[in-house]
Amino acid sequence: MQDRLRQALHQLNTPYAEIRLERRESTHLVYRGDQLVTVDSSIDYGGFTRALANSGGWGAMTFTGDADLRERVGDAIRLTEAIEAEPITLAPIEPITDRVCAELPIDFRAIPLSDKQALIASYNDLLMNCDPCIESTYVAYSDAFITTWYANTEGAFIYQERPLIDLQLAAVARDGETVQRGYQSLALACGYEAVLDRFDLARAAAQLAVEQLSAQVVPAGRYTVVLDPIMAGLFTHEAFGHLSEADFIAENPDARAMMTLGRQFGPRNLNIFDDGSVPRLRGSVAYDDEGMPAQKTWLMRDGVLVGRLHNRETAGQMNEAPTGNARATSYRHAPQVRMTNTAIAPSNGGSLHDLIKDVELGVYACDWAGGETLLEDFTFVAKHGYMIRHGELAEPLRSLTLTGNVFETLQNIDGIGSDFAWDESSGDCGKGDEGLPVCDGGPHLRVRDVLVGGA
Amino acid sequence: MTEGMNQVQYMMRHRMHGARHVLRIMIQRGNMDKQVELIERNLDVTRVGCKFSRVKSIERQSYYGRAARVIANGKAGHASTTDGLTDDQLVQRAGEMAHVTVPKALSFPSESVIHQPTSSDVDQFSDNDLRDWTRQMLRTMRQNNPHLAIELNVSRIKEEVALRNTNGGEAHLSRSWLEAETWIERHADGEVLVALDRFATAQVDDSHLDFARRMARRFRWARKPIVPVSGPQSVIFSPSAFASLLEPMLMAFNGSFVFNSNSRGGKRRSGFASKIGKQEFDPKFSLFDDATLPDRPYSAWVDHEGTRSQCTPLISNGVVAGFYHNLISAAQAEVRSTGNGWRDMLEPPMPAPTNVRVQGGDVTLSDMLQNMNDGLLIDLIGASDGAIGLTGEFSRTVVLAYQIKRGRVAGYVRGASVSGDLYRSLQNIESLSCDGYWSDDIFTPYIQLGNITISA
Repeated sequence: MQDRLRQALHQLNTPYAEIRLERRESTHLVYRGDQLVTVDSSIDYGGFTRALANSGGWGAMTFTGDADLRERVGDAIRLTEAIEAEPITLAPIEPITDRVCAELPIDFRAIPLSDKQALIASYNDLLMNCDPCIESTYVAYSDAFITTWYANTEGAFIYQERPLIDLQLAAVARDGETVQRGYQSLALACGYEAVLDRFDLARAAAQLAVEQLSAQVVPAGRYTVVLDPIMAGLFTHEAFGHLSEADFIAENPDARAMMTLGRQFGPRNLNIFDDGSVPRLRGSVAYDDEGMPAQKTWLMRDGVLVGRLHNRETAGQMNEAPTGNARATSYRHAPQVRMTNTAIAPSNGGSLHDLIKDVELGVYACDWAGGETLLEDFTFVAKHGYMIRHGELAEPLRSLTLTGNVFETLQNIDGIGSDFAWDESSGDCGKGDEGLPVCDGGPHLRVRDVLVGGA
Repeated sequence: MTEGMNQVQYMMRHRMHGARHVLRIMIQRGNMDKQVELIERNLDVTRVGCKFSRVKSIERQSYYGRAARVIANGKAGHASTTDGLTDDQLVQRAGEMAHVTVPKALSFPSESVIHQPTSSDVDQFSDNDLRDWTRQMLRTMRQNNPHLAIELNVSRIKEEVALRNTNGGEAHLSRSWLEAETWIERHADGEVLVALDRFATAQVDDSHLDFARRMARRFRWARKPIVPVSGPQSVIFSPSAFASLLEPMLMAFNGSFVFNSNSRGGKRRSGFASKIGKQEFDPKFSLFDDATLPDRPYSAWVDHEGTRSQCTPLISNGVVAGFYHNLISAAQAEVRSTGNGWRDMLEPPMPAPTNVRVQGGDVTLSDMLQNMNDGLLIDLIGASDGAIGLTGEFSRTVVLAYQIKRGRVAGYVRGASVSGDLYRSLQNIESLSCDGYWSDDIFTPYIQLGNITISA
């Protein structure tokens, strides 16, 4: 393959070109109620190539299979003729040749389909029989083994293997006309061992659905909010991570001014990083989709903006170093600047108990259900929560929406816990029309004056 | 190659002869208790990308894939590939996956739905046309707002699908359309305003400029920031905002989510299934899924399972009228498929809406604003609140709204929260406009609903 890719890229009339081939072999099983409703196997193989125009701009081709690779690169070069863009300078990186193989304690490709079905059937049984209020269930298992071959005209060649495994468990509970859902999931870049013996997740999903039947809708208003580590991770991702993606700001002088390095954004104990090298997490990669090694990048130190996430193009534009954050969802997409695993580092705020003990009236927001960001405005949705009254957790709350301005909210952080957890649940980060596996994490976090949507 | 037939059509037909051969052999082998379906799909996408108001890239995506479904002894399995598996190997793999219990009544269609493909205006659209179209949109968006930072992707999409099954059914679908999505930023006076929206059409006309003008109008109307009054109130939603609110509700009309079964009590129905024929909403409210509309991008004469497309009433004059189904969900519900079996590339087919339409009313937006006098017109809302249509409760962020005073736009609002119970509010619609627009795949008029909570 190395020779084929190098041949396809040999002596081209372009300043730069690259090819990425990807083969994805996956299995997917779904139970709905007591019925297995989906069993699916797929093999997806294709490639992406792009070339830099002499005059500036990109031409790109996406294709299935791997036939006529040199012709595909030629097509990408021809497409550049329709563009009249500004010249692009890619930040230099070392062309690397490497081979990264996955090491799986239990390789899911070797597990018979009947075993996978039996495993998720056992989780489904538990969900169905956990409580008489449970009316229906949803249990989904999927695995994917992804192999990529990457080469560019600078001489890089990288072979990578990457496993992904995903388990989702949901229960719908009904009490008269009231219907509520409980959901738990697990998604990691590892082997089959991750999904074995996870009855705890099934039990938690069922219990949450039942608890939500009697949960209240929070009265809309401004509260002191304590975020659990999963919500703190989502906050980091939505509120700050996206703003740190340099393609939002590289060409926009107003946005660049807003995100000037050295600007004080938060309290002195606020530290935020992105790290694509953490083992087993879904956002981790050995090399990004431009052949740059994954790394840990500090975005904020002591509340001050110290870095941002780059691909080679944005790093070149801003005269900074690439950070290994050029990621593509699949061969169907060009790499964009994307997060990997993003988190707030723990500090000295202690435990959940320590963070709520002084809160007279507030909200404890748990587990994410969604979120989005529009530059400085963010929204994120907690699956459930609790009122905080007189320093104690009180009545349960249904899903709640938190809204705010990132700069004001960062300034309003007044407690950063000493604990830390990565969110290992399912869910992709959306950017444009692409959903990409990422991971977020953090400690418990307390924020003043957050707008909470409700009744 | 036959004259007038393009390369994609030729390739699809040529390959489908291979499928015919495999299916004939299966029947000859006496596999009549086994139903097999083979489908192949070709998707060609050309996308012009703009960053910061400049054309920056052009990308062509060409996918070709095949999938097989097998039903044997009451069990179904599915397999797909974009790799070099033969039809025989694909069918064998789908047979190995056949563990899903399906209703006995499930049968692949035996009808032949072959239309002579006709070349549309969109098919004639060249790369340069697409680039020029993109530039026209950029110019229109920036006409009175030269400082806007515009990210715009404009795509031409062509889909070809060919399908055969052992029941004698065969289908061919060919369609093309244009899509645009944009993200626009305005940085001024320490305020950042973002507006984003999508647009799709299957016709080459000036509708892309209407979309661009609508985007430009948002920034023209958003002159002075205002903090809205908090509390329950009557609100007008634009088609973009209301379409976003409708999305979870549409999931409640998905045949596979409506009809569930479990071991305690056999088949149980949830959501709106127990409400068919009942007056659940205001008589002014009618909602359709309609794949037969001319010039809409998601219209088709046949779905990805070989079922003819149709217009399906979901809510008719406030009465729950039906659900959208694919073959499996229809067989479970003991009804006929509504032609809503669609695949995301090569996944197993699922019920999915096509073009969704809300019936309009009889006043203009201008009349609605005059009648409202003082209040809020919400134009864009945040996309996700995790709702899946089990209840009508929603809580979203206001991305852009306008404060109305004496029937006119007096300022703009962003960052507030809007919440309520959509199902309850739709029981008493205060006003519906006769003018509206398509927000991607959903057409709605402007709608005024009461009991909506605003928090700022």
